[in-house]
Amino acid sequence: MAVESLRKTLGMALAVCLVCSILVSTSVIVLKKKQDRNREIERLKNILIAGDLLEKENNIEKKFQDKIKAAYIELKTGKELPTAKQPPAIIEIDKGSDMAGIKRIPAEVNVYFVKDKGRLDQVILPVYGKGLWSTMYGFLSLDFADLNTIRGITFYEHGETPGLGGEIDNPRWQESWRGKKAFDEKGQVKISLAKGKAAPTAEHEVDGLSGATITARGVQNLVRFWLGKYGYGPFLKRLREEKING
Amino acid sequence: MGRVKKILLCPILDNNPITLQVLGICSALAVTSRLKTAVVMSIAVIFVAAFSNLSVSLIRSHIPTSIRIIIEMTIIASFVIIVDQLIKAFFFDVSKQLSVYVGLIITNCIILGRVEGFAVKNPPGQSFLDGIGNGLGYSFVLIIVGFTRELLGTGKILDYTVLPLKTDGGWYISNGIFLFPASAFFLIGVLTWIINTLRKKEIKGIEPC
Repeated sequence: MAVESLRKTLGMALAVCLVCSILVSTSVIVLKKKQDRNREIERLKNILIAGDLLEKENNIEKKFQDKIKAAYIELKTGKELPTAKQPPAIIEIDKGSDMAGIKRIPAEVNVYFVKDKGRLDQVILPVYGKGLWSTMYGFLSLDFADLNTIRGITFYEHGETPGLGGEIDNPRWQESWRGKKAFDEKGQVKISLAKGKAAPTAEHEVDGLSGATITARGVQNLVRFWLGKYGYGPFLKRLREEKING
Repeated sequence: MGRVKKILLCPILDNNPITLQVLGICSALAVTSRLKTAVVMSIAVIFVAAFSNLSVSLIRSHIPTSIRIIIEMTIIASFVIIVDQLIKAFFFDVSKQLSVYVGLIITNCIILGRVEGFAVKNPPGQSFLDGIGNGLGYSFVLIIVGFTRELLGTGKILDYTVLPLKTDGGWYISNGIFLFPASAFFLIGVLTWIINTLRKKEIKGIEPC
């Protein structure tokens, strides 16, 4: 058969595609388990980073078990649930309230309490929302004493531009969140990203990301969304009430 | 020089894909701010270059010219995905730093350049070596640039402190510009200059690669 004939051309195209797709899918399937484990450890590691609990990168699972107590809550009521429903129900968010650009959220999520010397020290909340290119996944840690002071933030998965929006990975930028207040006196979410550097005295403002306006806006919106009434608002309210009532 | 040795070693200095052919510059700027990412990227490119060359060479007499480039790209893309999966499984922290650049090996001109320029008309063994050789040439530049940038930019090599930083009580004031991609331009420029000056001196009497 001549190399240039139509049959040969189609045949070759088919054969190459077939062989390549088998190679690619095999590699994806074989390596999936290991990659998933890497991702899980990365997640635990980032919970520890959000709480500023990570000194060395070894024994992450052990450290996680020592320091952190996971709780499963229903977002709408803020109540703790005894067991995880698999999979949880999905809540659609109407367009007007969907600041984080995620359209739907699970009805129930995991949150993490940090124990320190027998008492609760921080509460770490998973947050996510849309940036410029991707959905950014991270954790936000609030001080348990006032449920207002931010103790840390991290992002563990995103596809923002390296060097610009990707700077949300930068520990120095994440550092600028520590000690800031998320809510104002009336209990409204107030935290925002500055244009450029935030003034050290501005307690509701963190550093902006230069060259990454949309990513920065995305971060601000996702934090505001998750601390608001669709996110952890009811949960935080319940914690506050429980503390007042002892 | 024996043919095999020539195919393997020529692209490292005499016909280096980056400094002489000025290919693959994009990723050379992006992944060289640390030595470790440069090394992992180098290994990935060597792997993809070698196996794409080998595969294309194996089927070279059966590739219809009308879909030649598409077939080559399909093969290259498959190897890149496999490498990306391997890096995600075994070098997870590096994979986060390399982010999109591993995927961009597909568009690295060195790979398609060698497949088109060499593998389609040479036997599989030689094509495989040519892929390794060009990958090594790329690695050579990447590792020199990565080494220089990490050393001068952070005072460290592979995260071990070599030049103690003034901020940590040492004497070295880190040169932040080396952490920006633009510095790789200067370094590659200087490297190209040095290599080409040296080559010109001895070029008489050496047959071109």
